[in-house]
Amino acid sequence: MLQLKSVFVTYDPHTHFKKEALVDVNLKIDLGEKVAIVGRIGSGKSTLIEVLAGLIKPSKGEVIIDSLNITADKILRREIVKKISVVFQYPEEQFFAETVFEEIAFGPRNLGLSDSLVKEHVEKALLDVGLDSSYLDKSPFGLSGGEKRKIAIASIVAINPTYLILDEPTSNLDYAGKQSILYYIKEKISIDKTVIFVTHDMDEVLGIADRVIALREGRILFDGSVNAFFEDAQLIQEIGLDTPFTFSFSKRLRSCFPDFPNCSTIDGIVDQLRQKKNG
Amino acid sequence: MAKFYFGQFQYTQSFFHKLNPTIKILLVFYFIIVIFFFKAIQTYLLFFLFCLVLTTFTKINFRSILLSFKPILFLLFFTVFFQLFFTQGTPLIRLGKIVITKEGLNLSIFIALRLVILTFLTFLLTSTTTTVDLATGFKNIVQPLKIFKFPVDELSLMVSISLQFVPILFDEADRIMKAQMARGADFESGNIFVRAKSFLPVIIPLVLNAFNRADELAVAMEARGFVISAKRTSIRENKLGKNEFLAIGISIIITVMLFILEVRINA
Repeated sequence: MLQLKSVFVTYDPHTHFKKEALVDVNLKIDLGEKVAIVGRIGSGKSTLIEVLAGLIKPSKGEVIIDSLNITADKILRREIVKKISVVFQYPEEQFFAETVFEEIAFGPRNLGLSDSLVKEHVEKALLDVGLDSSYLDKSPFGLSGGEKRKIAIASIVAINPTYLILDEPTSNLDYAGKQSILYYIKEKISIDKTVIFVTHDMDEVLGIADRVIALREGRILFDGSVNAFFEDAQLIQEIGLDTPFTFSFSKRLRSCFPDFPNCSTIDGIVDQLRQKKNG
Repeated sequence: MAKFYFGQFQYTQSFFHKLNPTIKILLVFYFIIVIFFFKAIQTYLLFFLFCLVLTTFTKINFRSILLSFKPILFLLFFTVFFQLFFTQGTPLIRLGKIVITKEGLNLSIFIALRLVILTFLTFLLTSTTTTVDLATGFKNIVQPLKIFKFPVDELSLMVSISLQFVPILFDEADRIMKAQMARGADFESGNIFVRAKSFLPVIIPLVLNAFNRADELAVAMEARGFVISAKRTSIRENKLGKNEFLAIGISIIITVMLFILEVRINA
């Protein structure tokens, strides 16, 4: 279980740049959960994931990952990374290696794995993002935007952390690239992992998450199920977000079919309507 | 979010902030030269006192100034350490094989004060002047070189862009470091060579991204009609007012006081 206890993060205290990024944040994330973190720009989402991943120490409070208190104890980075890791926004900007293999192998090597295990992890991670071994000897810099993003995600997946954080994994991608990334996150990567992802796209929330944490000015404004979140139209408006089309449409259809469920895709709505028609 | 760094511009409504950047740069350089004329520690102490007083006029939180000095402390400690323990002269304190000499102690205090004053002067300039103003000031200073067909406009544009990229590069380095740490990179353990090598995954993407950004900037500038060597006008007026003359006057008074003290001590 991942736990944050009364976490405060203040940037540049005692200066004109002082900013309270997180204020008294308390949360628990259980193994296997799929959590979406939403909120406006500057609401504290990035700070929250950096605290969760142990990349910044909170000014006050505790971060506990599976009984390991990463704020109190001096723990090696590799020990934290084995438990939790993060794919940052525009992760392809972190590339430095000459080949895709070397780029993905960077994480497993830092964990001290043997060469054969590194190879095994790299190949599995590449398959998990829908790419085959023909990519291994290519330069990561010569790939398309979507492929680069997949390599960057694979470079974290290869570490095989228990908790995987994704910061806007589909930002700046074209439609096909976005759909492909979402498919592999949902169908492959997230299967045996706790996934925490930051997004501004409510369709992604509906498609992947089973829990939503909404932030505003560094405070948790909402923490609950996806359905409960989208039912609260006032809250969604307050955060400056929009209800996904499929959710609004499902809601409208309940005026005709009171038991019509919330669907995350158009296909889901069509299937439900077909079932209603067939009785 | 990147951390606040030494000398970063901090906006307040102070006398220093309103001062013409050209005059500010010239006065800071003037004092940087003047400091090398003094040899007495007392003069340096008085100069340091003047720096402290001038800093209070910036209306910048003093604690934040002290915090931003943290990175300089290592350099200061390093310099003082070498002067204190490796200067030959009259022994003052003996700790086994280690000897602290009178000359070493004097020299270390002298150099430490000189470094602190130089740091304060730089701080006064950069924390009260925006990068755009710094570039404008620089341009005004090198303007006379135009007579010799020196590419003043191009050089000042380069300075301006470079200065504006400094905080961006700091942010980017921080971001890449965190991204590599998320992949298990350890920048804190091992000897100096191991640590230096561990920074390669930060330096390579940082340089690559900087080149990409420069390329994008060049295209964006050309798209907005930028042509090298075209005749340019400036939106900023380079006027000297009451504040500037007051600053020059105070600087003269400070210099005279420092020289009087120096002469009296050496007499």
